[in-house]
Amino acid sequence: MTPAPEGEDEASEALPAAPRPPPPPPLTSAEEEVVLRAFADGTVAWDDTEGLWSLEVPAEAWLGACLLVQDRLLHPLASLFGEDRSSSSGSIRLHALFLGGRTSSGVHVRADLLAIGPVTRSLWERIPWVVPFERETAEMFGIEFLELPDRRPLLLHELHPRPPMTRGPASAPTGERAPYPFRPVEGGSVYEIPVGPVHAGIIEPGHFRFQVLGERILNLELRLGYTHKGTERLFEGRAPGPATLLAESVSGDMSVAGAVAFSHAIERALDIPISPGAEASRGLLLELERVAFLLGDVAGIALDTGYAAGAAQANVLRERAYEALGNLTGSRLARAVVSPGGLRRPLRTEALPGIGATVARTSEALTVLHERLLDNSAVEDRLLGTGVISRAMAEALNLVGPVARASGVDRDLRRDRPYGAYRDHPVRTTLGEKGDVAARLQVKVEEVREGCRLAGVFLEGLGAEPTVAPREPVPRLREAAHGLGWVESPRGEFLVWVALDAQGTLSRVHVRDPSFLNWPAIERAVQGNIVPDFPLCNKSLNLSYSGYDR
Amino acid sequence: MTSSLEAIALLAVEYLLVLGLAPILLGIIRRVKARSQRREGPSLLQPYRDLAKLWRKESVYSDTSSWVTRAAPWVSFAALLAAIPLVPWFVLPTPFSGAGDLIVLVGLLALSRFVIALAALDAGSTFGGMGSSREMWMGSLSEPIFLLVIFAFGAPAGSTQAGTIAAHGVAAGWGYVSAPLLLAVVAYVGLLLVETGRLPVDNPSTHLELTMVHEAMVLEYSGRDLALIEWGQGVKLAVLTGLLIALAVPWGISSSLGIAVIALALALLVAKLAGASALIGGLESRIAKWRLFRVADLTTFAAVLALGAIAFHYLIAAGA
Repeated sequence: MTPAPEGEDEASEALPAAPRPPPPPPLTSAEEEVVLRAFADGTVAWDDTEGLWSLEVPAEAWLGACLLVQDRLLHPLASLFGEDRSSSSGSIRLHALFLGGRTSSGVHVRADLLAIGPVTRSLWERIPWVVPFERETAEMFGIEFLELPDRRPLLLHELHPRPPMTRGPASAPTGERAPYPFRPVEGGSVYEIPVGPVHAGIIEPGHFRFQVLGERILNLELRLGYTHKGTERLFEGRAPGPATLLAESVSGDMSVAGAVAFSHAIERALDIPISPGAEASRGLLLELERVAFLLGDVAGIALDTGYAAGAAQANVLRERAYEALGNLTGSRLARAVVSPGGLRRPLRTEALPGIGATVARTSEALTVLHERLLDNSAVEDRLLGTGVISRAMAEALNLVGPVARASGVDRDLRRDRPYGAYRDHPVRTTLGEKGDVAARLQVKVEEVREGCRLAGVFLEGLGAEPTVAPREPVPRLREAAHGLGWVESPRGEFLVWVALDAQGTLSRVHVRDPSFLNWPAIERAVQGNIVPDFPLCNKSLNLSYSGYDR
Repeated sequence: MTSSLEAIALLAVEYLLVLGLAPILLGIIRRVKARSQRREGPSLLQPYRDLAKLWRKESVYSDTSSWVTRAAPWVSFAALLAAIPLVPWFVLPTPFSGAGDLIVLVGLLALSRFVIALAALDAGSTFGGMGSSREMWMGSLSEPIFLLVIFAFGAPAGSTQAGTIAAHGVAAGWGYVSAPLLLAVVAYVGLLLVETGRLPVDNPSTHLELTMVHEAMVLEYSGRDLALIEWGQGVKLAVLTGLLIALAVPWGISSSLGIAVIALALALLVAKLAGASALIGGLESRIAKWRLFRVADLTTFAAVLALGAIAFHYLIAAGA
């Protein structure tokens, strides 16, 4: 037996164990204000278009402000992004969104950096999951993050003459490849398996670099960015209505979630009222999408254990859910249905009775299917104890969605920051314990069931009110506006931040797909597992390449 | 005894039969699995079309590969061809019965496995090495236990010649069925799944390169070489299934050379092979793939059953 090489210990120590004292009760809004105002360097205001405290600080107070929010207010960092304001205020603005804890509050920290040679301190020592955010912001805006240990590009594979998200004429990449050294793992008998970016199955492209000892995975490192399309840049200069189509293609299998999150951001920014009928319709579409999506996950997990008959049953149910969406909207993925102000076109009322029946049948069939999967001892043996993400790990990586809930982290935006129809119809969340593939399957099955229930509830809430968006949803603006939209998508918390100029066109859009937070989890989940169990870990996490790359 | 001319004719029929039927056995398994997934599934003849297509295509070789890659499919296929006469298919005594016994058959299967595993390492690709490592590990478990299972079958007849064992079975009639025989059959089925790379050991229909065993080894192959390998998989399945039929349910194998008797024996054989393939397909539909290292449980189980069968046989013999 060869001794385990050092790389493994390094890898497991690189992540500081999350300290877990009993969490103090969340601060009240008034207490939060006191803490923020005591931070002398900034201007504090409650921003209703984002549902967050706004904290504007000078560049040198960036680190202090972010750590104050994380340590005192206990809001996890949800996103970090840049905005080139060199045309208006001559600066590169750095944004950090802190939200997604158990409270409905949160903080938006902003700091202006010099447009020429922007530089700031990295947050990574205290907020370990910030690394991909800072790497992306560094390559897209040319910001230097001091002390950031990983300076490799994140999404760009080729060198660019200037950072692509900074103002100026569009510039093509130089065609020269950026160097990208992988973490080395050394030792006798260590074997390296490069997989991808082109895979044998019909999936999106991504590169996986395994270092294994026999069949045991010592280390896994990902490289993504193969589907980077510059989507955030494509939003700029567009009117909100047409730009909704871009938002729903960020992760194409969650188009309703993307469109609703974007529409919410626009509606909050411009103060557009939404009818209860439109909210119920959106709720129905969101839940049908979740049901179809998660049934696909159930089928995928069954198929990756080699249990094709069980997978076929789950796929039949999934297909019915997509058919329901197709009958209701004319598009199986419910594309081009949601738009700011309501819906682009009304739901087909003649399809509604069929939806109710489908939802009820799915819920019933699901129980049988889940039992059949768990009755199969080989399936059970493959799932139990495979790809474990402990609760401490889930918290240390700030994971979201069903993956976090399967590890026992209780967070769900539908309940924590209720929006639309969820304000009146609270969701029941299911938590797992062990954080293994079996727990993720369990949580996903329960979320399909809950989705069926909620879809039934929203179906009843559909009134005779007009649900179609007004032709001209964008009122004339007199000044720039911004807003934040959040949706609990099938993969977890989906955030869209928008800024509009005085003409009502988009000047900056940032999309934080849940997979951006969840992708690093796979590197941890597979450690110590055997290579043939990797596809199962991967499928149970079901991460979006496109959502990460954008 | 048959004359040498008759023996050659019978041998030719055997080869035509096994080589011709091998693809349809795979087709039957796929069809049964497709039905269990509520799919229509491809035509039963699809494997023939696939082989014909591959046969016409050119083989592409990696720059880093040597003659090993080019020779391996032929050596492997030849080893499987050499195994065909060792199995009593439809007539007893088998033509060329002196060619070897079942220990030789195990050796030929091992040779076929070995050259493919060697070729998988040859090009130096990652998946080939991974597949070889898994395949040789499984082989090291299944081959010795396969010998044990053969001894379990051979104990009543006192021989390791398949023809002698089958003749013993045909002569004994229903008296051939015994507890040791049933134990040996179950053990054999477990090893059959390991040897032919079926679920729960290996999933021949997977696209997940990291979970593959046999498929990972042959990823580098294309064209005529791939056709030989796929055809060889069918032949291996036919040989191992045919052997099980001859050892477990030998009744129907003809002992004379009359046209009518031979025709009946042939029809029975085809029906038995098709039935066995359908059973394998049905089994595959109901189980999932096991965790890789649980394959050792399966072979251990087979070993215990085979030992039990042998012990049981001698205890009965001692008691009688």
